[in-house]
Amino acid sequence: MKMRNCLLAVGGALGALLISVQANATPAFARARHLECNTCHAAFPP
Amino acid sequence: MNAFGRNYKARGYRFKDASKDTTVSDFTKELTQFPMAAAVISRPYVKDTPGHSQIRAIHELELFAGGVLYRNLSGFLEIESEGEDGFGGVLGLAALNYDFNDSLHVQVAYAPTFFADPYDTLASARRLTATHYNVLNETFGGADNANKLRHSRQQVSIFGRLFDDRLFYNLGVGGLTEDKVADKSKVGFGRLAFDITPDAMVGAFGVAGTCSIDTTGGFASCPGTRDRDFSRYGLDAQVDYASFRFTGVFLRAKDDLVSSTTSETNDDSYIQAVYFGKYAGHQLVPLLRYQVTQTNDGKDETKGYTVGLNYYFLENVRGSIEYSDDISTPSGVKKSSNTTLQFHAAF
Repeated sequence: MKMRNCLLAVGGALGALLISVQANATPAFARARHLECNTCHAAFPP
Repeated sequence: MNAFGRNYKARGYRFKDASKDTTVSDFTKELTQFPMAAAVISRPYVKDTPGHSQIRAIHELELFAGGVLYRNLSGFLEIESEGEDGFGGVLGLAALNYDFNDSLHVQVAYAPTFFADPYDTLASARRLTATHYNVLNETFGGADNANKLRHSRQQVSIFGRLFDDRLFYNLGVGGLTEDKVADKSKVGFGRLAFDITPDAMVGAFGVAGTCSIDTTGGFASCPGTRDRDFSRYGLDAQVDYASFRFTGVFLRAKDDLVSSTTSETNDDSYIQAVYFGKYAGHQLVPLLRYQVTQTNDGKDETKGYTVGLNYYFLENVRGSIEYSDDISTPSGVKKSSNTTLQFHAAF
């Protein structure tokens, strides 16, 4: 049971990462305005 | 958020003053540009003292939409689904603005008390840890519906920037926290934030209200035989220096007690330092927070810290590991600690 839960946890986390990587890095909310996340959310934009 | 982000948010998700903006609506564009985003939060490893452990492979899902609805109307909403709530979809917050100009916006919202505030000191949503700021996470004497400042309340407010945009203000009225219909009990709140320089803000804030025993509606509870007053007043600061952001909040909470005609007062505070660095082309953001939390009319005090490390795989994919521990606790209370591994992905 513990192994299955671990696999589920790692799988879920990995899935979330991969799906968002496929989203070309910029969330739709920002993409609609042609903004990168860093435009607003980085305290010190790179 | 940085100065650009603060202006963008405070202007109703616009690049310029609403009175000079010619945008009709963000919602007439093609579907691929619909201003909506989703976030998945995973906490695959959570362990605390006294020994609970959790595998929250999926901790929370969030859907956001925001932008200019039509000319001077703008809005923002968040629908969320959390494991601890049984993954039921609920309204996290919703706000509708009428944006006259930079100096005056009228907002109706079901949102955390200072949602209009674009600074980070009182914004639970923009923290970089799983653990919450104590000042926003305590119920204190419980007169505000036994709830927390980081949770939503019904509110009508005005906000904007004055004096060459250096002073941000927010004034409003509303109901008790998490009272979905804001029945009878009333709350007033205010917030001022002054930019001493573009990189240094000092502010003050306050919430005061009454938990009325006549409150009905099923979303609020005001036990006892008389109305109970409460207040939360505080000071805060946010300073950017080199690659550091320093934030701090002091809050004094006063609540009338249920069981007597007296009240209790508790002082909470936190200070936090965040460093925005780079490693191998990716942002690496360590942070340290120290907080002091009072209960029992200030007689009991817990001091603790959180240390965390955030790594941005991409600008919208963040992994973090954090550890929180109590330095001191009231007599008879065991120290607690928490370790959390978290991934936050937005798309």
